[in-house]
Amino acid sequence: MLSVKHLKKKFGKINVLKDISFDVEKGDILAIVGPSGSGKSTLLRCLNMLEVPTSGKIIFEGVNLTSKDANLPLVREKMGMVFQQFNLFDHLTVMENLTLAPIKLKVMGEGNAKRKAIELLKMIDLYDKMDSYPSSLSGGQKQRIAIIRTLMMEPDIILFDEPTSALDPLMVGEVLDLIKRLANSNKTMIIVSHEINFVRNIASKVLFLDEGKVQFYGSNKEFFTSKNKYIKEFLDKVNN
Amino acid sequence: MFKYIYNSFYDSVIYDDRYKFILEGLFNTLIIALFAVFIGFIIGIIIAIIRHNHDTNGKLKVLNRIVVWYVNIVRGTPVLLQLMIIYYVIFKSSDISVVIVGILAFGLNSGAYVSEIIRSGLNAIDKGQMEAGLALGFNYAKTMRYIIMPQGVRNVLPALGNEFITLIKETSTGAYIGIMELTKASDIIASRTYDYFFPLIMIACIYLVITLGLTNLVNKMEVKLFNAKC
Ligand SMILES: Nc1ncnc2c1ncn2[C@@H]1O[C@H](COP(=O)(O)OP(=O)(O)OP(=O)(O)O)[C@@H](O)[C@H]1O
Ligand SMILES: [Mg+2]
Repeated sequence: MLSVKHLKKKFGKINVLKDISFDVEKGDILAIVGPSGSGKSTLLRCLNMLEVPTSGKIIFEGVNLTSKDANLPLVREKMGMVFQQFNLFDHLTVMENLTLAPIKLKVMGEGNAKRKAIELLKMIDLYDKMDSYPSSLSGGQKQRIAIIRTLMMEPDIILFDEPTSALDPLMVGEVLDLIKRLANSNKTMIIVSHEINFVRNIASKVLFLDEGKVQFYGSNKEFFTSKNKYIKEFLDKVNN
Repeated sequence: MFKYIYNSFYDSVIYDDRYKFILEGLFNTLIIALFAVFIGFIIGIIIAIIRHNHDTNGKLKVLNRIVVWYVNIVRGTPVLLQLMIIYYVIFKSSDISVVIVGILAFGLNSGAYVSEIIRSGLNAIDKGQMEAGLALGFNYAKTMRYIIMPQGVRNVLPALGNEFITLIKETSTGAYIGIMELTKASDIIASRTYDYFFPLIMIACIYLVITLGLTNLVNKMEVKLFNAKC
């Protein structure tokens, strides 16, 4: 479904990503872990071309996104993204946040979009916030709305960039629970996360990034039982 | 004292229907300021979008350079000089109405200032808003239209109100090319009553009522916008 080949990214002279390759199949839940500054966010943002890679290929559903004639807006409709800072549209109500893209991009009509939004709002128990503005919501509520906002577009894959690290500790649970529900419903996802227990629980594959290089890429079980010195060191550190 | 005020009022306003000068002046001042702020808003948005597109996507290099020059020239020269150039040079041999010349000149002038106001409004918007729009599948233009512009313009509504207030005062320079606006009206009346004190103070009061009233509105709008954001 998604295939990354020899991806490199430089910011000026700094090599942030050095020759990254991996594949994601339908139904996979890939966790990207690694120390701070290792390039996890940059890698994720390259996948939907918010950051333009210096070289390499990203092939998603048969389209090479790094080629000049790729229709990026169309591709991004099928590749949702959830940000650390939520990025709800401040000038729109919750309902408008949810329905803006599907309606304006003609993915569905207004009636269907509203119906779907209500269904999703009920699923996350925020039906009563439909007419609220983001500024009146808690961080956890904002992030859950942001997650269902990407679901509105019915994406084939969802990218999460540290979805809980801007949250009050009390609100981390509700967001992780929602992501877990999506995982159980067989959504394909890539998650950058520091929540190592959560990763152990839901990831099917793990990619361990350090200094812009893939230090490990394999199954959940292999990663958490690895004898590799770096991995053990990393796991020890994040477990404390 | 009372008698002086009464006599001056009579001479400046009632006698010989002189209030008609004041009404015409008030009308022209408001019309010029209103149309100018409208033209300024349109020009300002266009310039701000060109510059934003250039700064975020590296596109429109030539156009960007032109509008930057435009803004610099307009902001770097006196508005009276611009008015004179437009009237005496550009419309030299046409019999166009001076009010229209005024609207054009003040509109073109205002556009440069408004573009900077809107630009600062756009720059104040978190980068994440643009990224969220793009990530949902909007292209740059649609993200600007549905997500960035509405927030940018909302952020600067009070500043645009202030621009309108500035314009109301600035149109007084139009008196120089013979536009019959408020200041010109006071000048004409004064030259007939041979008394400058009363007509000038009276017109000053009219300006004050308008500008203070509008400032009040703008402040209310600011409070409302501020509350909406928190
Ligand atoms: N726009 C940019 N310009 C220049 N350097 C950048 C830019 N974005 C990221 N970097 C650099 O790239 C490196 C990797 O950053 P990145 O945000 O991808 O790391 P990360 O693994 O997500 O870290 P964290 O866990 O702290 O979020 C860092 O050294 C960072 O300073
Ligand atoms: Mg990061």
